[in-house]
Amino acid sequence: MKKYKITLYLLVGLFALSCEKESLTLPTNTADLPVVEAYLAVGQQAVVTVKKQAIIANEIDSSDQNNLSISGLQIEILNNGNSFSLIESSTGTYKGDSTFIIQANQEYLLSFEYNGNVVRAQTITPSKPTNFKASRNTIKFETSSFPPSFPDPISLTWDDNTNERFYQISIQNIESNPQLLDFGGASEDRPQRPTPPEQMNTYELRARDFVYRGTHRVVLFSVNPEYVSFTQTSTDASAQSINEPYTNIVNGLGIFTGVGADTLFVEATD
Amino acid sequence: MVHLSRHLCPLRAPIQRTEGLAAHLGKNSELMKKILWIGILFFATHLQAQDLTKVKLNGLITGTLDEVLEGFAKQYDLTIEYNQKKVKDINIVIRPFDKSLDKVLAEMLRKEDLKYYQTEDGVIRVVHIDAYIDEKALQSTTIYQGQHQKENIKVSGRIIDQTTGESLPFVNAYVEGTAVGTTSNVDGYFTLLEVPTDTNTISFSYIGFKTLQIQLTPDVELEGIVISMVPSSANLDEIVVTGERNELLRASESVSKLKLTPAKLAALPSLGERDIFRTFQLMPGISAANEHTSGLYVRGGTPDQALTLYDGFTVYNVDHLFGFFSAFNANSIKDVQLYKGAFEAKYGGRLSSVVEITGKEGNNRKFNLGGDLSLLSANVFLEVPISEKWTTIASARRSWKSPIYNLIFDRFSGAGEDDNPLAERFGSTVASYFYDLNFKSTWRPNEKNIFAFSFYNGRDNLDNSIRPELPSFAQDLDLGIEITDLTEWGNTGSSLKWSHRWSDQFYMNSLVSFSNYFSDRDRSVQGSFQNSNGETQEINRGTFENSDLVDYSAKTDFEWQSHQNNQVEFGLYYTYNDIAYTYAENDTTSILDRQTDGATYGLYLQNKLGLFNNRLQLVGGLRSSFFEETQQWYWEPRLNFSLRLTPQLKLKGAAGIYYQFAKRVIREDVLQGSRDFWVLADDDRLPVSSSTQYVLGTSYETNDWLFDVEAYYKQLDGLSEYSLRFTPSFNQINYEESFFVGTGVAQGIDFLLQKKYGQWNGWIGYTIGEVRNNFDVFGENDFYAANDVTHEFKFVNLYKWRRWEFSATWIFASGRPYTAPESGYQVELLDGSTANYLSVSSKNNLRLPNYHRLDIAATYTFKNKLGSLSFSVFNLYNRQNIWYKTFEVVDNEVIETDVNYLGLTPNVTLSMKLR
Repeated sequence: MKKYKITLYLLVGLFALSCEKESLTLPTNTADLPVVEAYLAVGQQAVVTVKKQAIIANEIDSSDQNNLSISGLQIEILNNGNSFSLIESSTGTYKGDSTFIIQANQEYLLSFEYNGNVVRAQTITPSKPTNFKASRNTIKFETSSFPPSFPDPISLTWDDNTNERFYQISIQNIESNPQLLDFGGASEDRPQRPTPPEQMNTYELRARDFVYRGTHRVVLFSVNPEYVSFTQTSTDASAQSINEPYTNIVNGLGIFTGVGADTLFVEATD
Repeated sequence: MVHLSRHLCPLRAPIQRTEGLAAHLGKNSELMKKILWIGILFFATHLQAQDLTKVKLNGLITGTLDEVLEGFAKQYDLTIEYNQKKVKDINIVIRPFDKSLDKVLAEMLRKEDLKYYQTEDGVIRVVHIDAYIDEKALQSTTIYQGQHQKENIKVSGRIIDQTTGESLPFVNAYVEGTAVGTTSNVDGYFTLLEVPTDTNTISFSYIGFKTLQIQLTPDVELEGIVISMVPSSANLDEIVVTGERNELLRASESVSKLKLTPAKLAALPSLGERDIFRTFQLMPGISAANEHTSGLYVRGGTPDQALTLYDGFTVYNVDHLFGFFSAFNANSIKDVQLYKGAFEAKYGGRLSSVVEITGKEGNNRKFNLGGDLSLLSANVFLEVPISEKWTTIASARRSWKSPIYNLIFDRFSGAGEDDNPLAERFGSTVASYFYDLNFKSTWRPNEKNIFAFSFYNGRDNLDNSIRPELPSFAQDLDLGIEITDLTEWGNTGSSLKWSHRWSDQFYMNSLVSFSNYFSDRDRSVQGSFQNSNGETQEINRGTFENSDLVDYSAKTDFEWQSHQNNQVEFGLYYTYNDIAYTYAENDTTSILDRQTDGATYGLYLQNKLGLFNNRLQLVGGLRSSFFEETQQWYWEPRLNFSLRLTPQLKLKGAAGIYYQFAKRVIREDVLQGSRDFWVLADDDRLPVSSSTQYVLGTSYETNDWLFDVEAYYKQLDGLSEYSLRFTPSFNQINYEESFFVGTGVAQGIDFLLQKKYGQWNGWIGYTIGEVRNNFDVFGENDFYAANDVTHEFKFVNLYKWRRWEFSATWIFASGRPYTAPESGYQVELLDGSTANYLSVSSKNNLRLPNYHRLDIAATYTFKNKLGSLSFSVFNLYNRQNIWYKTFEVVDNEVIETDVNYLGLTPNVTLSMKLR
């Protein structure tokens, strides 16, 4: 009898051993990944900011963003076999020196170490848009007429023969004390949103693009597909479903992308 | 044909129950007891039967019952058997006047719910008043002591339930003292070849029935005999000194296999009615922490990986009312077998496990009617024997708007927490319900053929819609918004079976079947309203999910018992599936619209072989399937063995390859909770799933105890998940691309310690396990699957006291993993504005709190044994177990809500039947 009991114990022990749990190597949890924000603008110095995520207690944007900045990183950008070290200019913001100017149509590689992982990203800068022109420099609103008549749009044009690149236009009033265009009570103060990035080489500035009187800066951005994806996957303030935010950062979140830009100015009057 | 029906004292009757007799003889040693019992079976015939009617009693008789019985025994030279423990506290005062001893005994015992009977050899046995005594058996207990006349004979026949005439499937039959044994087939037929002599004793054992021993005699026919077995009714007292074995679940017969007696389920705590699936969930290796589905999570498998066969047709969904109840009515079920893994080549099309349910045929002698009424549903069954050869049974069950139904419905439909102003103002006016129907008709024109038709239909309608009830004066106004929240699902299944016995050794079972499962879910807002310009606008917003699955199958199975210890089984099968699924948002945006149909057909061959005097049993088989969608053959070798090292100690193991063609895909929804839907695999985005399994185990079994341990390892391939979290860029969303493929590993060890018999019985089950998945889309590392449970512990207790049966079960399970939005960040965009991003935790990186609960029940069986009353309390200490979490993003805030399982829920069930 005893013999069998011993056999039994042996067997049980054997199973226990044969199935000993291998510990599972879990990936770094998403919440611990750093967020990179870097737009390499052609013709300008490189600027990279790195921060932690806010752990959701309740509000996404409640935490003081400054406290989230990640300081003390050794960030390098690699281009054509040359390595450029960035210097932390303010907490969590890293800049290249004045000799390191971003060139068009170049590959740039970002890398730094954080929490034992190498955070990496890659982008190719676009060219600056050429021949960015407006059909007029002024747009005049007849605010006193009833019903209000809308002015003809201003045509913005630029050169693009490929039809493959994405462009985004942002319009901003640069008056120090902007005044609302007065449409007899129907005027409203609303944020001026940029256009969604699209494949286009012309854009019509219409009445709806203006909220204020005065000088407006109109910027044409030539953006990369990664930036398009990134903007498309932001979370709506009140979301029904969740998209995995797009990122082109390995071992991190956020965006590292090249961008080309050109600017012109338009006057809105009434 | 000879009708053999005998009820003998088994050799292995528990010795401790014979105290009375042993005490009477004054010899209390173990040896003496053994001799005594052997004696009863073989040498006891020399005792003269006392004629109790001739003994007249007068005067005052007083004392405890054991003293009185002892007194009678000494005075009148009787042998009286009784359980001393049970009778020593009973005080007796009687004053017989010239009364015969038989009457005195009967009257005295009746007052104490006891009775007695006298065996052929004169032994008086005191038993509980409800104990079943087979009169015929008593008359024929003479042990044949002559010489045998034939050797190496064949014994064959059919095994039936003595009370109803139902055939009994999967009964174990073996020739005592030899290695010759077999199991009856699904229609109750058995054949024993190579029985050594025509005076051997054959033992028949079946869970829920008393073990029956039949001694062969030369003058008895050996072929085509009918063996009648007697059910061990739930409340037989343990005084009964027969081979009664009152088991609820049997776990030790072969590797990873469980058997269950539906008749005995009533004793366990349940929310509503007896539920076979809920009972299986109390065994190790089958997760019990899933109140939301009756489906079986077996050893890291998901419910869709468990093949559920009901009278031969496949059932694709086993849930009623959010899964709190299984779709099967215990009143119409005769036998259930569960293979926890590494199942035989006979079964296929699933990765993880098999549940084979055999429906009752119905009483073939007498009309019977019965039913149950609980605080949740009403259940009625009807058995109509049209003739001795033609039986029918029908059962129906429907929920009623009882407090418990409402409680569950409100909890899980969200109605209770709905703060919709429409709901507050107008209220929800719609009804919800579930029902199911079973019908079976069996015709046995002769002993060679059986035709059986089985039909099942069940449906759930969970409606939480809000229809404003406008005051009558406003009814003409064409306005109003309706909020629909309707979930409907149902199963219809049917099979027609023809069984033919070509010879005692060659049996055929042919079947055609149909099965349909549909599920529709509509969560939307419709209606019209007037906008500020006075125009009427129609709206229809929300999510719409529809799925419909059809299965037409035909199969033929053959069993050929080539030698006593060798059985060959082979068969052919054909299944045609048509599976459609649509998922749409806002009425018009179709996100997913799939419809796939195709056939799977193939054949299998397996051989059951007993070696070394049946100490080693080997089942080897091969299944081969052709799947039309992929135009490929799939080969599935299977092997399992069990090696009996000693009568108590067994080693067992199995291995096999498994493929699954129709499968469920999880639709990941981080915010609202994930759901799943059926698809048919294709050659493209939804590969055929496969698994390779290994099981190794051992069991140590004594008369009263079973210790069983099994370790398992499963490698899974071709798993699918659907997620819209990873939408491709550039607006060109192809939702079909959102199917992702991955692999997995499930491994663990199941432990079971069971006290099989006795006034107190039950078991402890423990499983340590893990399930890991690896999907490229969720990162290069493994993650824990949603059904990963590290520790699961179950403690099941049953205690019998007179007509009462008490039970308590405690379940503990480690929390399951989940995925949640966990962190957020803001990024400044090119134009200077900021964008918010919510980042979801790594896949299943978080864990819910541990799950545990205690359920208790008490069942009282009426004196006539035709009914019982059960009281139960589910989740006695009102533990708030979390089912899943939902998240809402409102104004950049994430609001987390726990969806909890049921809290403390009492129930009462009344069961009655005519016979």
